[in-house]
Formats: sequence, C-alpha cells, structure tokens
Amino acid sequence: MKNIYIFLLMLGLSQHSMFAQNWNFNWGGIGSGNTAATNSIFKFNFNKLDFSKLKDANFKININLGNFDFSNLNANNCCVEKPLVDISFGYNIEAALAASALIQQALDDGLEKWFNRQHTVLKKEIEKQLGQSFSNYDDARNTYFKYHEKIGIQKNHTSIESKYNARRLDGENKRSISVKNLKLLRLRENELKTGNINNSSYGNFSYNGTSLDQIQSLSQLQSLWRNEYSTFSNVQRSYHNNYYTYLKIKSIGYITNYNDPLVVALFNKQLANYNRYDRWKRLDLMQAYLNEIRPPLALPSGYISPKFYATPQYLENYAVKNRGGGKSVFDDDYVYIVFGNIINSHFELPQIYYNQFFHYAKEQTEKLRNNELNKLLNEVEIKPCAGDPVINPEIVSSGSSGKKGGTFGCTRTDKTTCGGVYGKKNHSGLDVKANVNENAFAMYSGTISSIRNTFSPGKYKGNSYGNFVVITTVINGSTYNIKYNHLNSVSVTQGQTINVGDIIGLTGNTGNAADPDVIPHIHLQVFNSNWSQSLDPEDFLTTKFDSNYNPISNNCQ
Amino acid sequence: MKKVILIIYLTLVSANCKAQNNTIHSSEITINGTQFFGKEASLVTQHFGQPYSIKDYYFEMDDVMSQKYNYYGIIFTVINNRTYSFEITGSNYTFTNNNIKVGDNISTLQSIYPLSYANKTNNSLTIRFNDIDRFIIIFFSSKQITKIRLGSY
Repeated sequence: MKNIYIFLLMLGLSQHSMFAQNWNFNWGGIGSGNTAATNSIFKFNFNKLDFSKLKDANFKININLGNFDFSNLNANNCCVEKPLVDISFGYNIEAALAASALIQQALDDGLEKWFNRQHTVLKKEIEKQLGQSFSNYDDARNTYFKYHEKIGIQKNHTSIESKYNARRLDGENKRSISVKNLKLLRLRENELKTGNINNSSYGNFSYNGTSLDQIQSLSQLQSLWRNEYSTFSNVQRSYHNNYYTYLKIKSIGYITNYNDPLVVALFNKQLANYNRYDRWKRLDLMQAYLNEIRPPLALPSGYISPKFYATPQYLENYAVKNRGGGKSVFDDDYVYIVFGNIINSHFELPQIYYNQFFHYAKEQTEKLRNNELNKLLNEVEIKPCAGDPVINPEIVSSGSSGKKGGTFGCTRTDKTTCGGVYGKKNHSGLDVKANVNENAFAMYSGTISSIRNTFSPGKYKGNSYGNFVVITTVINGSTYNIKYNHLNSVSVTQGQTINVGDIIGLTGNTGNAADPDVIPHIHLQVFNSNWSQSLDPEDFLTTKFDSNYNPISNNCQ
Repeated sequence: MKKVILIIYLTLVSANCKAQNNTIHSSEITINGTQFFGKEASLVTQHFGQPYSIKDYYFEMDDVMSQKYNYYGIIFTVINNRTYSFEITGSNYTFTNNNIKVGDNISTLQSIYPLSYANKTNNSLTIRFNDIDRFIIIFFSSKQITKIRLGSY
C-alpha cells in the first residue's frame, strides 16, 4: 500500500489562508518524496514538504487523483485518522478529566471521524443511563438535560421545602395564638353582652397580659379586638402565601413529567448554555454530564462543568411565582379581586354604578373574611388547665349547704348519718360546674378503663351517675381511677389511651343530675387502684379553692 | 334620672326574683298530714297499709340498696328502714299543710310559693329546703300538677 497523506494535507491546506490561491502543484518541486507512480498509484510524503517555501506564494493546486484506490487505505496510511480510543464513562472526576484529555487530543489532531463517532458513544451512554432509546443524538441530549434538571429539582427543592415548611409551621403557630386570642375576646364579648361583667368563666385566661375578667366593657374589648384582628390579618396573609408556596415546592419534588413547564424552562436554559460553546466544548461538556460531574462538584479550572439551573433560588422564585391559592382574603387588595369578579360577571354595567358595586365588593370581602375567621374560631379549642376537667372549674352549690355541699366527704345535711354524725350525708365526689354539652377534658393521661354511654342527654334516673368515663392513670408512681359522671355523651372507648387535655365527652346532666334544680356538673370521683378507697378529687385538680370554696385564680395557660 | 334609677332597681329585683326559689323546712313535708321523711318505714305501712310491691333499687351514688314501696299513686323509697324520698303521682295524696295535690292547677302555687312559681320552667317548679340539701320538684303539664318528688343533689 502506498503512503498517501494527501487527504490530510488537503484538509490542512484548505483551511490555510496562505493556500487559498490557485495552485499548480508540481510533484517534487517542493517536496522530496518519491513521486513515481506505479500502476496509477503514487507515493508522496507530504510530511517532508517544506511549507516555508510556500509562504506568501501564489499557487494553484490541481490534483488529479486519477484512478486513486481509496479502498486500499488503512490506518497506517497517510489519509486515515490517527487511532484514538472513544470516550469512556467512569462516573467520576478522573473519568471526566480523561475524557476531556481525549477530546483535547482529538481536537489537536483534528480527528473529525472520531469527533462524529463520539456522538454515537454519548447517545449510547445516555440510552444506558436513562434506559430508553433515541433516534438521534440531539433527542438523547435534550432528554438527558431534562433528566439532569429533574435531578437538580429533586436535589435542591428539599432545602426550600424545609424553609417554607418551617415558615408554614411558624405561621400556623402564630395564627393559632392569634385565633385563640380572638376566640377568648369573643367569648368575653358574649359574656359582656349577657351582662356578665364580674364573673368571667375565662378569668384564668389573659389577653396580652390582661386577665379576661379585667375586660369589663365592650368598648375596651372592641379596641383589643381591632388590634388583634390586625395582627391576625397580617399573620394569616403571610401564612397563606407560605402555605401555598410550601405546597408548590413540595409538589415540585414529585415532578416526573419531562413536559412539566418547570422542567422545560430549565431545559431551555441548559440548551442555551450548551449552545454557547463550540462543538468540541459541547462534546466535553456532555461527557462531564454523563460522567456524573454534579454541582457543586466542579472540574478543575479551565474545564466546563455541568450545572443545575434548578438552583434553590430558582426553585424558590418559581414556587413563589407559581404557587396556587391566589390571594388571601385578608390581603388588603382582595376587595379588588371581588370587585373585578362582579364587574366581569356584569360586564354590561354602566360605570356610573361602579362606586355602588365597589361598596358591595367591600361588604362581600368582609363577609368572606368573617366566614374564614369564624371557621378558624370554631376550630379553636380553649382547653382547661392540665389537671382540670373543664375550663375554670367551679364547685356547684348543693342546697342549704351551698358550695360546701358540692365538696367531698360528709359535707351535706340530710336526715342521714355520716361519719357517725346524724344530720350529715356523704358526698362521694366533687361537683364541678359544667354547662350542658361542653367539652369534658381528661385531667391526666391514662387509659379509659370503663365507660357508660347508655343515657340519652338529660335522661333522669334517681341516684344514678348517668353516663360516665373512668380513666385509670398513674400519678407519681401511684395508680388512680378518676371517674367523670353525669356526662351527656361519651366520646372515648374502653381501652383507649388518652392524653391530658383530650376530650372525653360532653358535659351534661344524665342520671340524678337531670332534676331541674340540679346545676349541670361533673360529679368527679377519684379512687385508688383497686377501688377500695375514695379520695378527695380536689387534691387532684390543678385549680385550687379558697375557704369559701371559690376558685383561686391560677394562670396555667 | 329618677326613672332610670327605678328601672335599674326593678330590673335588679326582677333578676333576683328569677334566680331564687321558695325555701321551706323539712318538717313541712307532710303527706296527708303526716311527716314520713326520715321516719321509720313502718310509719308508711301504718298509714297506707302494705304496698302492692316492694322492690329493691340500687342507689348507685350512695352505694346502698334501697327499697321502693310501691302504692298506687305514690312510691316511697326506703333506705336502712327509713323513708328517704317519695314520688306522688296520684291525686288522693295531699302534700304539705297547703294540701297540694296532683291534678291541681299550678296557679294555686302562685300564692303559696311565689318565688318558685315565678322561677318555674315550662314543666316544673322547685321548692328548696333551709335545713337539708334536698328539694321538692313539682311537675306539671297543661297547667295541671302531674308529679311531686323529693329530690336530691
């Protein structure tokens, strides 16, 4: 075979401005190779050409290859690219650097065939990594970019999700405090409206340091309400935005569809970045992607590193911009949304009525706000102090003995004998005032050991406890059975574990308490572990009572 | 100004009246002129003869077994052989020296127990005691007394 390097030379020459002239090539004139043709095949070693002699010359090259036998070319001949191994993938920085070196070498040597072949190599690698086939390299690369950004989304959305989850929870907490404040103010408002000025049922609760029973006028209360409502509105607005941003960023983490607008937007950025480079650098960039060089892992200076466009900042901005939920009704300009809806649905309205409709929109906005606030207020549970079965427990008066008759022991007067004393009657528990159908709360954590729920609300039966719940609890290592009697309904089941403050049923007047003169109450009883001893429930209540059996204020909230 | 003070005064008086019931002494509880409450059960049988039935009834809140002496129109509850309570449903028993009977119009109670009458609900009226922690409930329907019961808290 002949040593022919003419193709390489021609390629080189054609790129060279110096040779952008018409050449009349004279074999041997400037070269020292053997030009003698044998069977129409000639030999010429262009490596031995002295190109310096051609500088600034005006030549025209006319090469007639005649019967040149291209089939006889092989790697050892002049016009075949130097052999160079293909890019391989080790999925680490060493592999990426080795591939870069290969690309640089190919570039230096002008290995076009090698270059073109690498697209097939990259396509196969993409197919391997993604587990799907592609008809061409561009399709494979594009899908890979989307896949890569999806990884970026999954990797980077978590910090933003955490950030907004924290904001959401913080907002929820602030909102719950504010709603509780509003609930207390509303409860107090109801008391004031019914003339209860000095005997608040919520005296143990305070609003910003002011005990509720110190709020003694509606004007005072309304002033406090306005302040708290303003706080609530701000908190709610913020909570609303953070909540829906959180939902959006959370949903971003579950994106699987490559056609998702976020993925497409990020892909476009990837493609634009890719297209910034020349074809050799693009090759280098792709091998780095496929060798799994992931941000923040970067190649040494001078190499092109893959990047995620799905940065935390981008994802946060995207989630904020694209969150659902619209505006909170507590947004100042929500009224314009309502107004817009009215105008849009009555497009024939003359503008002269706009003022009236804007006024109507304001009313509707207020209505929406009130609905949302009331919904939240209804969800708020004002719980008693831990250790109390109801909010602000009071002892119920029992006939001539007054409140003393509601306490434990031989505290009642009757035509019976108690403790060896005639005229006294035993009261086996503590009667804690409880309005009908309000929540009864577990004083302590424990297990529901017994219930009775056979009485309909208010059903009378002489000398009966009516519906009851027994919670077996351990306090300071000792086991006790605490019994809540006269409930209107029971909302727990036997064997159920219960936490302090959990609702166990509704207070009421079943059993003996159904008689009209009996003030609805929980007949509270405490027994030791084997029920052999009845104990004074007052010792187990958090709220304490003075010598007149009135509650001593405590501030357990 | 005087009018305002008068209105406030009347409102307060009215509110106070509403919150109260008449009180009586336990010795006033008589049935057909006799005091049975707290007395031995034999006193009941002396006056009314043997009940048509005596049934045990568990006093859950006092953890004792009581006996119900069932007569037509009245039931006595006996604990430890003493009359603990009663419930009148028949018209042939007079209650207290005012001779209140089942079937009477409740308006007859207005002059006897004005506070309780003013404080009545739509179907009952309560009389309290000043010496014991008990109460009398007088039930009525269509303005007629239907039941008189000695109750406990």
